[in-house]
Amino acid sequence: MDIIEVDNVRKSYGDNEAVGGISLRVGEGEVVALLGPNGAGKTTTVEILEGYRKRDSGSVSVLGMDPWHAGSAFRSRVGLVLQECALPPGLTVLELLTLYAAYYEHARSPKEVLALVGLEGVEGMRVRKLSGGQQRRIDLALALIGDPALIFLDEPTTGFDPGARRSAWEIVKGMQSIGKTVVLTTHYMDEAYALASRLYIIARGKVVEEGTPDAIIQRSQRRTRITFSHADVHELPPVEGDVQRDGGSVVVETDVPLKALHTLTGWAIDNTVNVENLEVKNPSLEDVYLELTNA
Amino acid sequence: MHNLRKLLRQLQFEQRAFWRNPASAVFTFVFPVIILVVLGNVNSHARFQVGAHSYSYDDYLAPAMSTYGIISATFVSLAMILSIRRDSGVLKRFQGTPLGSTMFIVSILISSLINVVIMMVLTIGLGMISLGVHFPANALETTAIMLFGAVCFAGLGVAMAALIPNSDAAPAIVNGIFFPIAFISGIFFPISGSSILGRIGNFFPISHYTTAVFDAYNPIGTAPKVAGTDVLILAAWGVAGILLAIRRFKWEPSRR
Ligand SMILES: Nc1ncnc2c1ncn2[C@@H]1O[C@H](COP(=O)(O)OP(=O)(O)OP(=O)(O)O)[C@@H](O)[C@H]1O
Ligand SMILES: [Mg+2]
Repeated sequence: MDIIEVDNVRKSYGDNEAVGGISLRVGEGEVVALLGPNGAGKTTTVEILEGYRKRDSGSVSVLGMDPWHAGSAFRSRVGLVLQECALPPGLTVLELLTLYAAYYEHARSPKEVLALVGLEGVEGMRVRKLSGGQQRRIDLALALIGDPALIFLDEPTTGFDPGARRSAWEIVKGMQSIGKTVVLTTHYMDEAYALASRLYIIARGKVVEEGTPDAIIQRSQRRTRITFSHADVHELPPVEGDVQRDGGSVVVETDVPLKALHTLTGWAIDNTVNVENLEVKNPSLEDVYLELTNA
Repeated sequence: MHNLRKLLRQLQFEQRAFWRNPASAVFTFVFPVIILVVLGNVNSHARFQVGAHSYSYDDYLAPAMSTYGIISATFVSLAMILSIRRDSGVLKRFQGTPLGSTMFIVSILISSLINVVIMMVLTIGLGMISLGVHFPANALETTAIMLFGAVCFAGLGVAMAALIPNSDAAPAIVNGIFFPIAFISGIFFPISGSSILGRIGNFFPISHYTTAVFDAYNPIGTAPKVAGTDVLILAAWGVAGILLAIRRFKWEPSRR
């Protein structure tokens, strides 16, 4: 049985259908990303899985339990970072971690989780004096302190500087390597690509695409783009694919990039054409994402 | 064992959060103390009549300021803290842990009862030392009534937090309710129960609490026995508050 099994879940706020029949599977040890634009329904979906919100219909099983009716047995096995980070005021980092550690029967030590999130040496600082990104990492440390089997991260790296994002990725990869299951939401393509073994692209409350990042790109049937410019107005050779010319700049979209490049470069050398800004771009997750979510 | 450790940690957290927030600690404790000392010293020669007996103003003020302080430490303080924590998402974060909402509420109630006991000792002690007020004639009954009222006002505080639409409005709403009612309930000066203000005041729990505490405190040994009706009305408000709190209290930030 999968750790998370969701079938045809719906949730409306008034007439606004935030989640319109989503189905998901997350297996043990997977890192699964929910990717989608603002208002797509990611937080609503995740919060249904976390037991914060009640679904209108559909079935949900998380760790074999229905999160809406689950109690502390569920809570002690699930770690979470909410989209908005809220830490109680007045405490130092160590006091806060010690407090949360007391909630769990098998907690990790505060030192250990601080090392996991790369925030050593801040134990004595007041939480509210830390920067926004540092507070977010403390939030992540709190999610890990109960040594949960399953971790939900709702936009874990929003507001991080590029370096901090990379180290957050390392943390998530680290969690995966010790067998944790992670469900995260993100707006960032590169994040989904770097972390997720599988992803669900969500738009307007529905799953519009799912699979490994590479499979999604492949299925999208987007073609490789070859672009260059040349000063002389020569006739182009016949190329397999679509060719667009705008004066001296050329865009070729093709399914056979190697062959097309061979034709083009051969033509350029034979005719001593001065080719500039030659670029070959594989279809990216971003292209696919924009196409799927803007429709 | 695990639950006991959880409770103690949570209690420690509540106490730290309270005392490290200057606004809450100062508002709760410094106000009643200042009012007690200032009003008490300014009016120390005033006397007034209750039934056949004449009391000094200070004998009246000290127990009244205890009730004022207890209401600050329960109703006012809980309504503020809970609505702020709810809107900042702290409560939601707690809810995502195995702490449990019962454990959370029990801890914050015990923590505010600790503050109530400190408040009782502080106001009565200060009344005795600086104003020469007598020790309660029946210390056990006085303590019991004070703590009973504390529980009722704590319930009303949680209910108030449930009714406050957003935390920015909390101070205005809570104080806007508390001060006028405290005033017409005779917390600062005795107010005749047959006057218009007094009659309005009698609808609310504060005047009954003040009266019951005064009767139990019985500073010069001539007060009537604590009236059952005062205790019942106080209890009715407390129960109503607790029921409302159970039905309406929300853990998630309100959407604005
Ligand atoms: N508590 C709520 N009450 C009313 N409407 C809500 C509530 N929460 C979410 N919505 C609405 O549901 C829809 C989905 O919101 P949700 O927060 O799930 O999106 P999201 O994918 O997490 O967006 P973002 O990337 O901006 O965080 C939105 O239209 C939002 O306005
Ligand atoms: Mg969201």
